[in-house]
Amino acid sequence: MMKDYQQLISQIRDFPTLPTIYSSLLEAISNPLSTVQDVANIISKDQAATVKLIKVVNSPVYGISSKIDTVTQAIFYLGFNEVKNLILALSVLKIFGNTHTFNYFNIIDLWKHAIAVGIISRMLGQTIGQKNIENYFISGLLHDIGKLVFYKLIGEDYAKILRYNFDNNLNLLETERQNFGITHETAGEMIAAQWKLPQNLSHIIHNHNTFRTKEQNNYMLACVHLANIIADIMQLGNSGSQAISQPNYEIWNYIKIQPGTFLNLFDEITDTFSKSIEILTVSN
Amino acid sequence: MPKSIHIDEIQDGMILKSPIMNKFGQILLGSGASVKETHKKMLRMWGVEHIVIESEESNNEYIFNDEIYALAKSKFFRTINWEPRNKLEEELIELGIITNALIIQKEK
Repeated sequence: MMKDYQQLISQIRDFPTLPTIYSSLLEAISNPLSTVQDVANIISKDQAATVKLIKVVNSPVYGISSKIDTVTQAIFYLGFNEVKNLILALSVLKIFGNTHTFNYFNIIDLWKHAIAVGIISRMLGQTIGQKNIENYFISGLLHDIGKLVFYKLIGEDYAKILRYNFDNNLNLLETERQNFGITHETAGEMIAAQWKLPQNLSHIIHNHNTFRTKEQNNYMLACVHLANIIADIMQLGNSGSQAISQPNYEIWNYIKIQPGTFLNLFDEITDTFSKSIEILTVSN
Repeated sequence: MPKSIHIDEIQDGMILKSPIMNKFGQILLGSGASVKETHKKMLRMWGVEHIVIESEESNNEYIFNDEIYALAKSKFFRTINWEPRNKLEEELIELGIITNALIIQKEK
């Protein structure tokens, strides 16, 4: 079922842009004269986004012990950058929220996998003692954005491909290449460029499966690479691959932890995941 | 969850859940700091005997009967075609077996 490659590429080029709330937010944050109130006002104009933001901030993903009621409080606790990340996550959720799902393979399972990878990436970042882990959740959440793009554009064909790949224990990148001439990594990178997502995020979208990187000290890529494998191992959501790949050995230069750590994280991952999927999957 | 341990039990990398204070209430090490075995001597000098650390030692001991474990293992091994190269990769495999065992147990 080789899809017309050129047609698929042009469909990706015509893909919807992110909601304006995200670009307004980017603009406000990059303006040194903006105040917390300015940023809060932009978010508060979008009521649905506000309600959702407050819910996510209070979810176990962030583990904040006090209750957050307002956008301003959320900014104080999480900072501009993480709030911007959450608005990005919610914007993406909005774009894919109304995607028609096909029985062969439910799109919700892909999204659940993404949430799991976001949660695990952040926990790994914390566990290895990274001080700045604010981009870890969003990187994990969006690592497979290319799969969602495929699903939205060529849903029925892609759902069949995912099912076929899963049932036959195949390598998804190979299967995609054979059928579409393009992988979800490349599709994801194209969307990241169109949406002007930050460079490090686009790098992760393109390299999370292989950990190909020329960059030094890319702890975040190492965490997302491993989190992706752990989510498959723990069967949280479904990435479309049953075959579990071995981590790139190089990541063990970054993930320096005591034996026993993964087993210790098992319950926390399961628990955070089950409490977060509801908040992050309900559309609108 | 927080766990109180004797300073002799300190291992490198344990994370403090409460600050360590001397008898004057001065903070020697703040909460969130990571302790090392080399701290033992200093703590003993300051008269500190117990510290509170972050511990996830709660209910992560999964025990399955042999039949379920064997079934889970064979099921998981069908999804990997690689051999572990270090302790952490062995642990990843253990995670996979536990996951499958929990699913099998639930189905029964």
